[in-house]
Amino acid sequence: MILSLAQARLLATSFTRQLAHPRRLALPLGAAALVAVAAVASVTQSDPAGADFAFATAVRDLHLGFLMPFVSLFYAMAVVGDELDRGTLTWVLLRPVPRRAFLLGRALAAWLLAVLVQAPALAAILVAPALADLPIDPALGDHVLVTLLGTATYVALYLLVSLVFRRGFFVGLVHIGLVEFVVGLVPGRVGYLALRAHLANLLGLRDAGAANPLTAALHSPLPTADSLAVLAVVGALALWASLVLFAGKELAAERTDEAQ
Amino acid sequence: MTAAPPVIDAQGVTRLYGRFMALNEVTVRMDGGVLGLLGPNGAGKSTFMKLVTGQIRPTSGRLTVLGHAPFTAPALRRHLGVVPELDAFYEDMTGRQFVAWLLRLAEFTPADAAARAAAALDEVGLTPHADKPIARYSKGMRQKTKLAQAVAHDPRLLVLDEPLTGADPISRRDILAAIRRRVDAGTAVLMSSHVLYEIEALTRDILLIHRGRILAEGNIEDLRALMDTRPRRLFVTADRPRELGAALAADPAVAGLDFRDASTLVIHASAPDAVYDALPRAARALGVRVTGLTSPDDSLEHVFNLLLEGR
Repeated sequence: MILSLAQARLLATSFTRQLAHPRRLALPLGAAALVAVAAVASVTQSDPAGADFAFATAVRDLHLGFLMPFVSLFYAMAVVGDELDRGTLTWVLLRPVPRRAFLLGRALAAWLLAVLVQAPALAAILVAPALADLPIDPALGDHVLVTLLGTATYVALYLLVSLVFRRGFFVGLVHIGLVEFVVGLVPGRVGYLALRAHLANLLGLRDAGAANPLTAALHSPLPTADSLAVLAVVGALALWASLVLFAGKELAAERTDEAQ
Repeated sequence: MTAAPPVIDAQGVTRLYGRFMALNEVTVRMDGGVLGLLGPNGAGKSTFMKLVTGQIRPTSGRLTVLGHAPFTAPALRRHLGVVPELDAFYEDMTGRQFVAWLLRLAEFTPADAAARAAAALDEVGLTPHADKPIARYSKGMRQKTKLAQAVAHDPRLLVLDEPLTGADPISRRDILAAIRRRVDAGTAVLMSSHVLYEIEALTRDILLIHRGRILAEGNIEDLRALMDTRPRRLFVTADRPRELGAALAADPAVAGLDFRDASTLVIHASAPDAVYDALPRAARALGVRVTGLTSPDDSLEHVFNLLLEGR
């Protein structure tokens, strides 16, 4: 059974209105603004070589390692996790709404909004080097595509987290802090356990610090096709698992007084 | 022509939550009308309701609603109207918006949804408050909103999980009247409650559920008769309880007497109906002023204990 056009439009409209509420926009937009400021500040270094490195770091560590997973987590939780906790999802699912189509539609809306919220940071990243007359890495032009792909992968991953864990937001934050940020900083293959390392690899930023002797010693490039495949497979598997889990999920089972 | 499937057909349905057995081998068949599901809190009523409405699956056994397995048949929900136990709403929506939005999700056109929402809100007596945000609704108004969304699409089966909980007397009257109208129009109703008189107001057919098992099913009069023939304690508050006790002591229907405090006589009645007759006669004859008459054994819990004793 598929979602009818009218149902899809209605669900998309109400969900977008829910997501675009000022309360829900403030935190991700604030984070995006912070990254935008960091990107602009990084190119104001007096030494052009240093500025190049600082800029790459700002992009890699702040945008790919923090902003992108954070806003993805924020909106992925809104797909079902928040409503599961509040109990309001029951109203929708007591209607003749097919579950898989419902989840897919909301995940799509969450992805779109997560991408849009990154726009200030993305604009700063794309414009700042030109303002400072920095030689722009050709891969920087691909930043938009990497943002679209990376956000999709993160949204799918955190959607799965929201369905598996009761406190999905907290689990997601731990993942961002420990895996995406800390492990992603580790040079070499170990760092590729973090998705952001693959995103940085696609942008040619993964080895931006190779001038550092330690990093150079551990330098271990991965073909960009491999990074692309990793991101696509992780995203697709997470989405598939989310659809399967949600189709069989008992929404009321965890809340019944009789179960306590 | 094949016969219409039963409204609810549960065969040996068991539901576990981890190691906790919420329902144990429940077999129920409902062909229409109103079925009252009675049981104390935690008896398994809500679990049964959630199974019927497809919110959860049976651990074992077979359950069909209008011929469909509820968990796996979203199309069945077109024919179900559900008042769930939950009290979570989209608080910033008005009652009208909420009901109309849920109708649109069931694929009614905007105009049809608006008209049906208005009619349903009127049916439950919520029209004057229909355009206020749900966040500002009282408990009774929230219960009415739940009922309005449940009836708005003219379902074949209404599943009402404690629909009168928290409602004030006027809301209760409105809610019961709306349910009765639906019953008269031919809608099947499964309603749960832990309060006997709430169910009595709607139906004679009851299903008693306790600790996940069906304890008894049948007519509510049988239950009343059982309550009236079993010994019961009656607490009588009067200005001269000792004199009243002395007058009643010889009555064969009185098995014993004691005093809870200076103004409360406790009668252990072996035949409660006979005591209910004798008590006003004795009070009138002595000129004793009776200000209260209660029985802790009138509770549903007591009924369950009686039934369990009889097993």
